Amino acid sequence: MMRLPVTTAQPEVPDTAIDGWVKQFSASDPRLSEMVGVFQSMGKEIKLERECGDNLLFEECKACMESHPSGVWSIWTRDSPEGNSGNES
Amino acid sequence: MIYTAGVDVGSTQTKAVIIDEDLNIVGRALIDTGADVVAAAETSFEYALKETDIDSDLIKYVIGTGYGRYKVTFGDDQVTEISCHGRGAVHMFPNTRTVLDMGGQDTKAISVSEQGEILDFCMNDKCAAGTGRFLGAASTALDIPLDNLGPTALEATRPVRISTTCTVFAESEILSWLGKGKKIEDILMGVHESISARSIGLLRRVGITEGVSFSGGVAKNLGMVHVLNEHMGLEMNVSDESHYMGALGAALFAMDRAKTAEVAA
Repeated sequence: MMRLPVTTAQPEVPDTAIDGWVKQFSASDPRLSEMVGVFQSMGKEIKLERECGDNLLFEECKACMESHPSGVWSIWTRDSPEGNSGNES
Repeated sequence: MIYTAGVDVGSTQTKAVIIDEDLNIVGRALIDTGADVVAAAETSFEYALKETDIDSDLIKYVIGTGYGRYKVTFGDDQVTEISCHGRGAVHMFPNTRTVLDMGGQDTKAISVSEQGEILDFCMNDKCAAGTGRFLGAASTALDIPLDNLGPTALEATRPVRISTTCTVFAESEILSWLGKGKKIEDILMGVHESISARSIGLLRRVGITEGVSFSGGVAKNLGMVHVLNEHMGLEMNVSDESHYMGALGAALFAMDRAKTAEVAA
């Protein structure tokens, strides 16, 4: 089955090079909260961005994303200036 | 002698491990999580306890982990599964520096220190492509039990290339390959190769440092172990108890806290 990409446009700026922010992965709750907690315990700054589905490869992906009531969010992280690297335990 | 327990409530299966003061596993249980997550946590703990001859009063601390860790209502605390898998893997295989945890709904790559502390990690996007669920779709489409997928794939001679990235649509692609007369083992190897490629992509993001330990339910799949080893050019640490790594890590954290409490008392 042939599926056409929703968009083929390449981002002008690579995701990994915006003010030191690194795009990690997308998640929805309850996973989202858990993973944010892990990154925080590693001393990272966190930024969340709601996935609107515009950059997804396939039409089906967008439908899948929209099926989550609390939304799907991309997790962005950046090394904290304080350099806290404490692990939870 | 005191004992502690870890209960890892996963999306597909729930695992419980009981350890003694010398950090040996004395009881373990694995059951399907099902719809009643609280009951799954309780039942797995009861089964693990039955495997031992100890009284439940001797279990001094219980930690819940995994997707449903807050459903371990009889537990004393919760620790994230990333931390538990790291800790459990280093305990099971002391040379561990990288952990690949492949479960029913997600796949995680974790970089750990010698002490099992998390240095970095990443997991698959919300999309379930490249997780154990992809194997579940293959199992359904080909009407082969999950346990037989790996051994069957290892009989492949000309693996097909699975192009779909969507688990929902994997079934239709598998059926289309069947319609073209491809052998089941060749289709299955294609499925394993597809998951392997995505998993190695995750591992590369945290760095593949020698001493790679494989955890999660998919670690029982010999075909997946073979494909991953071949593509990475190394031999991963895998044991019959690899799927208990998260629960073991939770039990180890629980032992730390039980001993701290004992000293304080």
